[in-house]
Amino acid sequence: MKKAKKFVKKLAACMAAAALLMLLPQGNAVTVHADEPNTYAVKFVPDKGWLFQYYTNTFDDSAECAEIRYLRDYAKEGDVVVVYNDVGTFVPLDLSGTHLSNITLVQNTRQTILNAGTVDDLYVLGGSYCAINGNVKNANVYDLSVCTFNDNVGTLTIYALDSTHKWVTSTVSCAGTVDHYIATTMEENAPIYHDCYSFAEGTFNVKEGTLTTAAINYSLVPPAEPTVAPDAAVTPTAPEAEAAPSAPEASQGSIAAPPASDDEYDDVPKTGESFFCQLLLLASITCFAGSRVLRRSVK
Amino acid sequence: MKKSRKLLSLALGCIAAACLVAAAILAILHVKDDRQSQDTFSRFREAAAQREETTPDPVPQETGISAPGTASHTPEEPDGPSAQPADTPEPTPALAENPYIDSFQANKDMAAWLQIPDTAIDYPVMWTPEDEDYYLRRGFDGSENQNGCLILDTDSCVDPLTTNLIIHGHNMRSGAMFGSLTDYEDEDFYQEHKHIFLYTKDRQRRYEVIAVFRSQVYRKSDTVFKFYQFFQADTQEEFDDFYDNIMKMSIYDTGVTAEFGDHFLTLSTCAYHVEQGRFVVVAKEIDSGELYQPLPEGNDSSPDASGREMPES
Repeated sequence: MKKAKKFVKKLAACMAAAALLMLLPQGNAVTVHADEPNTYAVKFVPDKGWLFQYYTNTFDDSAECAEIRYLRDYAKEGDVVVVYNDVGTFVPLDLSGTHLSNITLVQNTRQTILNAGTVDDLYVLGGSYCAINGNVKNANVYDLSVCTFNDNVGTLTIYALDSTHKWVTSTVSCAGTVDHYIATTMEENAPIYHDCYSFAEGTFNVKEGTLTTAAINYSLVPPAEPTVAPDAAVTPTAPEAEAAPSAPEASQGSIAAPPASDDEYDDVPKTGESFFCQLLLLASITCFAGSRVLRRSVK
Repeated sequence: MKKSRKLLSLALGCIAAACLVAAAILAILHVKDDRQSQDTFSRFREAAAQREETTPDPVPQETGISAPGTASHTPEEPDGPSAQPADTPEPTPALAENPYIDSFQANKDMAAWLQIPDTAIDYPVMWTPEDEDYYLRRGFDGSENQNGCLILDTDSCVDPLTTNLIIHGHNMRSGAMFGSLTDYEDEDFYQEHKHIFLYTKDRQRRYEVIAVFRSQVYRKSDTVFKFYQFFQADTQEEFDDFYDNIMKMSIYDTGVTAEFGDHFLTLSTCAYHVEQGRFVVVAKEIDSGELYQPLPEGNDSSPDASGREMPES
């Protein structure tokens, strides 16, 4: 009898523990908002083409990566892409089809052709060479870069090295329209070298810092009615010089752990047959066998 | 001590009996579901077989005399050398009647009928884009049924036709639904069952098996080839991605090739070699077939995914 009581107590304790364990996962659930922007690092690798790593802003050559076409499945509106290319290529990087919030070409990016679709903020860091296809709301080009925009730009800001050099060093042209062009530096109280508006289509040209566009093709005053290029922002006044690019800081390590939701399996109809009937049969046999053994031991 | 053992023995005996009874009830219900769905499908199969036997040749014969039952007849050549031959009107090719017209009319969720000759795979294929899993555990009439129905993936479409049609079906131990699909693992079986027929509302499509492989459903974060995510190839690259991968994964070489612009039929069922395993048969369309007569207006009382019931036959 005592043993039976002990057994019942132990059973009750196990069931209570099981109930607690069932409740705990709900309390400890990690919820990830599906609409948080993700960051992808993209790099051109010779013989392999454009590859990407997800949930990171630094491309780790030793880490696992995937072909760029899969990025189209993953990238969603508002995501961030950081581009690396230290060899140069005519193979375009196709990021079109998704409205990205931020594309950054890191410093000294070699020749890169970017099909960007629609981008909110584009950063071409110092010493980069690129051609951009797609409308850009805010384009930021840093010193010693050579950049061609083949579509419209809302606000184009070109940064000089610093005010001691006194001059913009980049070469930038645009085949579309430019609503607002500013040339400045990244310092506090930075001087404004250029502040021009409403560049006609195909006329914008800055060569090694010198604005070569004919005066008739742009205006020094903001337009009375803001001209809105497709998906471009219009800034009627000179903006404050941005202290630092919003390009994400380099971080160590390889691919960050994906959000918990991405550990789920893809949603495909489950076409397996239930084994519940067989399990019941097995349980029945086991219990029957146990019952028989106990009976014999009693006898 | 003896008493407690006796009690425990009794308890275990009762649990054993309860499990046995429950298993028996489940087995009986399963057999009942099986029989019910087979009865429904048998009726449609018989009706289709009868229609196919009586359907006239839609193409006019070489003598110029149309087969009976067609819309027009070519007049015979008049006798006598002096008689001028009458103008022969253009014979209007008559469209054959869809052999599965009864099943299409019985349930408007039915997108096609799938048939692999000389196998048990001879079933309707349901398409419910608003709820892909609706017929996964429901019979053709919408009632609960463990066998379910074959379901066309919601991202596939028959009209307009997508590059790839993916059909999912249960791998039933009884052999129902796609229970016999895994027989394709045997190359000899494949040699004798190379062709698959899909009867849509407007035509009969014939396919030839091109690849057979084992795969699985992957996690969302996995960047691998996922056969179940290919529906449309608008570029050569997209086509090559699918084609190259299925040919690489195929467990034997069928000798069948495909090129950009071809259409595919993918049959998928559960496999147990890995977690979330799938057994897949991919076939290439080789003949889009003759057009059938348009179906008459649908039956309002047919069941659909919203749960309306079919009237008793």
